[in-house]
Amino acid sequence: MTMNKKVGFVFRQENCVGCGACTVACQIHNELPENHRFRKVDRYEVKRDDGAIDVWLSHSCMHCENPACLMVCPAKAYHVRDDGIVVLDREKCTGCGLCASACPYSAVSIREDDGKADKCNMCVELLDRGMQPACVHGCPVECLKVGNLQEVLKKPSASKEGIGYGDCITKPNMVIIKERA
Amino acid sequence: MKINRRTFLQGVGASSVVGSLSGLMPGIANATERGGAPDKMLKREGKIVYHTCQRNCADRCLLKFTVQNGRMTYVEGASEMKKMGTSPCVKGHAYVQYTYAADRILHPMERAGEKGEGKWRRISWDEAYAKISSRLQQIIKEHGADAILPYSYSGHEGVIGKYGGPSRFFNAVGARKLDRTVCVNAAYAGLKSVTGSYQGPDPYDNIYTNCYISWGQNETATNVHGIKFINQARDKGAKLLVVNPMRTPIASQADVWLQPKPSTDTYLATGIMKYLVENDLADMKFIEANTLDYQDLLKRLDEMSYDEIEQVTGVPREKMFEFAKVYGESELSVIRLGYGMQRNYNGARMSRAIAMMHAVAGQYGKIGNGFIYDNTQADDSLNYSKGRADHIHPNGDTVGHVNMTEIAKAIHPTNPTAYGKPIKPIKAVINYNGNFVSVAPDSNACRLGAMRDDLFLVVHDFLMTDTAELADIIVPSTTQFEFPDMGTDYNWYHMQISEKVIEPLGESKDNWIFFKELAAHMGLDYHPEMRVDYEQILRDFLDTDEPAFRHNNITYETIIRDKFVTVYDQRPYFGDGKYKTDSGKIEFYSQMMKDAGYHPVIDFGLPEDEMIPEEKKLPFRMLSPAIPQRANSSFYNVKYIRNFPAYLAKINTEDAKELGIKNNDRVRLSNHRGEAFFTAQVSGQVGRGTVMAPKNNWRRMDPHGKASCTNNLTTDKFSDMGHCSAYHSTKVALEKA
Repeated sequence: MTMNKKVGFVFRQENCVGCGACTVACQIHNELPENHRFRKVDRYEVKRDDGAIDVWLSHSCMHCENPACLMVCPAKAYHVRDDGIVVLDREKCTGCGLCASACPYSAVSIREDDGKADKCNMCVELLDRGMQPACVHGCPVECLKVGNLQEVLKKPSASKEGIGYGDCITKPNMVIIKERA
Repeated sequence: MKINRRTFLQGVGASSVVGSLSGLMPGIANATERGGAPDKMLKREGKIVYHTCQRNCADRCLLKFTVQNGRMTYVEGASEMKKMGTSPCVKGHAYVQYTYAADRILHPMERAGEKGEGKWRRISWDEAYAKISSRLQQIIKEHGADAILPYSYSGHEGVIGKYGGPSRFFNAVGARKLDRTVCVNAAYAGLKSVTGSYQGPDPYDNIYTNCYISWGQNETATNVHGIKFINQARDKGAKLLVVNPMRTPIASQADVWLQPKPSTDTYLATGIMKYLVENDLADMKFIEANTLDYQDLLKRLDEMSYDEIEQVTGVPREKMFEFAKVYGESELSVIRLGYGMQRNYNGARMSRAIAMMHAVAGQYGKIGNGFIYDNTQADDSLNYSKGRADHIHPNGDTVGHVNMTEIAKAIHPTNPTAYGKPIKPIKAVINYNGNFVSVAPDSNACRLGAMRDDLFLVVHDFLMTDTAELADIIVPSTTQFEFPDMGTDYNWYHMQISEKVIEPLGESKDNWIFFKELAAHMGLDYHPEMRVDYEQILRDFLDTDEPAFRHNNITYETIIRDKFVTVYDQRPYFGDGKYKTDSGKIEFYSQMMKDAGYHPVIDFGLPEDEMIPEEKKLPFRMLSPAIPQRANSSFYNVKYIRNFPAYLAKINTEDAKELGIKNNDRVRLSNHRGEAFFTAQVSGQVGRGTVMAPKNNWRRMDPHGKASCTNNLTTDKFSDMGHCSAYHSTKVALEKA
């Protein structure tokens, strides 16, 4: 696995306004049940010197280097592609729920309609055609991208830390960038 | 061709869009399909149709719909258009679900019980037309045609959908006139008193500014596609300043955010002007060349102290100075004034002070500065009187008027009034493009009128709204996607196409066909204007001599061909230094204000001055602005959108502590107009003494089962000028429920 092919979500947190368009665009592309969301947007009230501000985190599967879901799956339903995207073969899934418990980012959950696990696969059917994932394509503020990790991590502001987001043992691959001081 | 997996896969590539994926690598395209779900691509295969969203929002998105075998399957932004990018807003993503919603009304119905009882009988269109036309004819005979009132506003903002179709019918009938000044008209007056215009520069030019000021606007809810241009400017070093009683997302991201108490903006603008003057940041060169009566302004500024400004606004003066310094030192600054802030008893006066402040800073007339409020350059160029066929109204100049904000007063059971005067009773209301029980102020009073036995209520809609449930007859409307139209945006300067996406569902009829056929049933089709097709209505609107249309070479054909056109008026706006006031200058002393009974320079009146004592003494000001996941009363039923909360009350942390309210507690808001129940959302987003509840939620959809809606509480008294609504000049009591 060479690094130069690896992709990840790149999130410009400083510009996110928490509208929820990414969540809905994803649900619609993935034809999800209404109460099932791959991508969620959380609001954090962050204390500042003179009061507080709201910061939003748009997050879904982090496509980790050491995915907890893959490690715990007894059915071997998870697979990491050459580009680093963690995909789930739902045909193999038995619905045991271990992955949903194991994921530190709450990115996997069991679907009510068929009792199997499901999660974001970075819309690989779109990526493989040179298109963008639904959430990226569907963000009106354009604060969500997919980037080549090797390139993105060269940016001085690139980080695996943000409001509501932090690195951990599974080595997540979402990168937060800041373009402004 | 039947699409199966195999033919679908053959088609792949032929229609794929190459996005500008930042650095997606060679090799990715050859990656295995593993993990992909090619079936999810099926909805993107088909014919593309361009259609402009007609909800009432400043963005007016041009969208691309995919149509397969006559069915809409997928929607995205028309990225050919600079303002759009690839994405609709959160709501627009769900337009397929909106269109095929399970609860759409698809056939005519008449009530089969008491009003509002919810019992319905299905009838045919022929029966519906016969019943409606005979009842209307009877009303005309007994009470006159002016006993019929249309009620509509912005459920459909298209040229045909909003006025071109329906208004022809009401003109042919000779109906009472509805004044639709609910939205923006207070600041129309206030801004005209300063520069003579409520229009402003092109928001595309925001990328050239050094300072963007969002004043009383929540871009996330009503202008989300404009945010990327603000961010482009910021990436080049521009400052972001925000004034808002609520901590909007943009306020959180601002360099300086001022949180004044609601409607104290006149004081704040005055404080900023004082600072500019005292610190040599007033642009004297600009003021000398472009304004009149600056001395009167200086005198007025001296009459107001920082102490009083601080006390009234609740904004610490250091914070205000910080804001004023950034603003005053910016080479170019642009203000975007929101519509919500002027829906107050002092709306015109506040907006006037802010526009004057911008003149003191010398910020008109260059690319990257100016004052954006309502860019109706395209819309104002249209020939409305021809498009609506105003000339066929038998007594259009003398017939009575009712203001939509006062709909409850107009249909009052015993004492109908308009503009404070008694009026002849209204005997029929035909409601289309609207839902007044949810949307108009004082919802309980609206219901009271709508429930009158002697009021014939016809509702043309595709959902069982709060208004439809009180109807005598419901006729199914199409959505906007089921007929062709055009639309103008009111932020950028565009005129855009809405091609017909799909055929009408069920038995639904659109905003022209319904009124055209109803006119025929009433024998009104002797007017040639009542026998035309969609294209002719559009051509009537476009039959205009406006220079903006002429010098941009805009015709019906060019709009159809190009999907969207730009109606450029002036760039930079006011670049010629010719203002639209009588004097041709910016007026610091306004005879117009004086004639209206206000101080001619700056009037410091507050909404509380005009409240009845009973309301004035209540502890909380209630703001009811838009939220990003709804558009007025639309999207409340739409899958993927309806679960975003719209029955919440934002409450300040300290206030909540005092009242023993925690997050997610149920709270009751009340005043003399009624009560409403919400889920508490406790945060610093609103200041002390302010509570925020989303506007225009439905009683029927209330998750608390209490027929709650925000407009149970709101005032239907007008703003100071322009007969605008003043929803935000409402006070409430708040308690845990």
